[in-house]
Amino acid sequence: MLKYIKMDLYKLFKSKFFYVCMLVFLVLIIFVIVDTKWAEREVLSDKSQISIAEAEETHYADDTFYTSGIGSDGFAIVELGINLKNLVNASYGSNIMVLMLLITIVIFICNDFSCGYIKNTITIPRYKWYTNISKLVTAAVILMVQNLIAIIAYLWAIKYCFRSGVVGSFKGLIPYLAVEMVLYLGITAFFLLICDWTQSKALGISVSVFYACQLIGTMAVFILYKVFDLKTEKAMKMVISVTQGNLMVGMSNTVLKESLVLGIASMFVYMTLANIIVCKRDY
Amino acid sequence: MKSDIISNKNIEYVIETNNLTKKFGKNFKSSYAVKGVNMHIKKGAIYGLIGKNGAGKTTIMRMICGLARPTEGEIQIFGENAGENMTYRRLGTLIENPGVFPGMSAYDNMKCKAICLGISGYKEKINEILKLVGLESVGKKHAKKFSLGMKQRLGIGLALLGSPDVLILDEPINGLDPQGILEIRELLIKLNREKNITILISSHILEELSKLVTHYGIVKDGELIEEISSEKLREKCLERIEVKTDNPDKASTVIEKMGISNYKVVDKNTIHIYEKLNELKEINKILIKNDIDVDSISLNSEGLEDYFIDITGR
Repeated sequence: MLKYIKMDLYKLFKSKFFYVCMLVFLVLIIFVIVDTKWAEREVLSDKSQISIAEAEETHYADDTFYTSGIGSDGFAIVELGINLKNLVNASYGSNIMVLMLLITIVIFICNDFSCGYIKNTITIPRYKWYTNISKLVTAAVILMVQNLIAIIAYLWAIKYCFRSGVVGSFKGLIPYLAVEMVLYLGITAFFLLICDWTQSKALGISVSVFYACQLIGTMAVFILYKVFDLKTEKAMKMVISVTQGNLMVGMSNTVLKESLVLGIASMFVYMTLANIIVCKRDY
Repeated sequence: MKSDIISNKNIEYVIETNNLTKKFGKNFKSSYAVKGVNMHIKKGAIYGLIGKNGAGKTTIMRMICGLARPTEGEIQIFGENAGENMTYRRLGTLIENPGVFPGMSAYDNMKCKAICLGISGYKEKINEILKLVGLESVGKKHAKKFSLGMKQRLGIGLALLGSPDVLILDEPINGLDPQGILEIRELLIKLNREKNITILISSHILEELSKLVTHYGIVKDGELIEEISSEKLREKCLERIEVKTDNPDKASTVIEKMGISNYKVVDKNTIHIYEKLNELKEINKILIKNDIDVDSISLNSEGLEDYFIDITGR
């Protein structure tokens, strides 16, 4: 297993596409910073009371971000306070984190199929599902790199860009990030299943964009609402959290634990299905 | 199925298949890609798998190296059932096109597999193999800039990592120039003779294959129709006198009276005689003397290609 992980990490850091994807991610983070800076300037110059009022309508809780897909919500960040916790939460909430994670991992997985390298490794006499576990670990590493890029960029922005920015407390950020990572790895496992099944890079990337536009979360809410007649706010939020991986920084420990369990459960289910496909299919 | 190998019970087979079958599709739409293949590959042999496009050669190879699951039958590698043990570790494979990362150098491609195989001190091993396959001077050039021949060599290099006992090579000389074909042939012969690596190889270039292999397996429509050693094939393709006549029954009686027993009535107009090859004129005279109309009589021989076409049909 460790050998597969070592090989995958070697491949990842040797691949040009990984650096391109992380550069695109950095550009998106800079976009969030610029958008927040613009909102801060507007608010501080007292020109935009209407914008703040609009911002209040776009989020449902005091410290979370629900945008309608990929994007940034600078006014909401300003209103909640410019600090590391809220900026990181904004990059999860605005789905740029999940979009770039999924695109990177889909390219990484499907490259093995498209260039045929999988034939070199799948014939090595170990359990075939090791390849899936190794890909999931690689996704975790990509996510950690993304978090690192985001945190460094935000810390830099807080120090040099924002007039009202403060680093804030790290307390609450670590468990939040840990649960977000588990939820995101659950989503990655779903994409691992898609890639193992279809072996199509184009389909994988298309579904990633589809996913980042929150269409899957919307569909899940719609099904709950219409089919199962489940209309409680908590259920809705939980569905959005699990399907989209968007949590609130200030969530209670109980909700975080529930999300963690759901994340692990979804990861387990998707990985089991992906492993069955890997073991049964012909290459 | 004719088989001269199967009769020898004392030979150790490194790869043996029993009723190996692969079916694609389900129910009434299913079709057999491979049907009931019983293959026997002797230790130290260079086994050439030949057949037309779509005959099932690649599917057989894919099943042997674990890339495809047989629908029926079993594969024994070194006497043990494949898939239940570590026997695959003893195989080096190059199936269809070489699987290489286009954005990586030859060395990096090799290093990836070496890490996965857990080879300690892989640097020397990789350099040794790159030298062996003639890629030692490519440096950091990415594989996407390689010619097809260079990619094939890299594919063979990847197959050689892990010091396999058996090499399974599917069309390894495809796309190579004559010099490249010669080099690969010499490399395979060297690996076979010096390192005692058993090789299973498929190719459409029959002439080239005949310079290399010790045993042949002929595949037609998913079935292994014949296993034959190269010596036996050489005997079968020996020079012969070919007599064309419209009365082969009467001619064969006369031929037998001449004391010739090694002959064969091939079709309603042709007889092949495999002995007394230097008495062609005498045989012709006797046939004419016995009122047999001889349309033509000539000394001929058959190559692998003719034999293959004869057996698989045009």
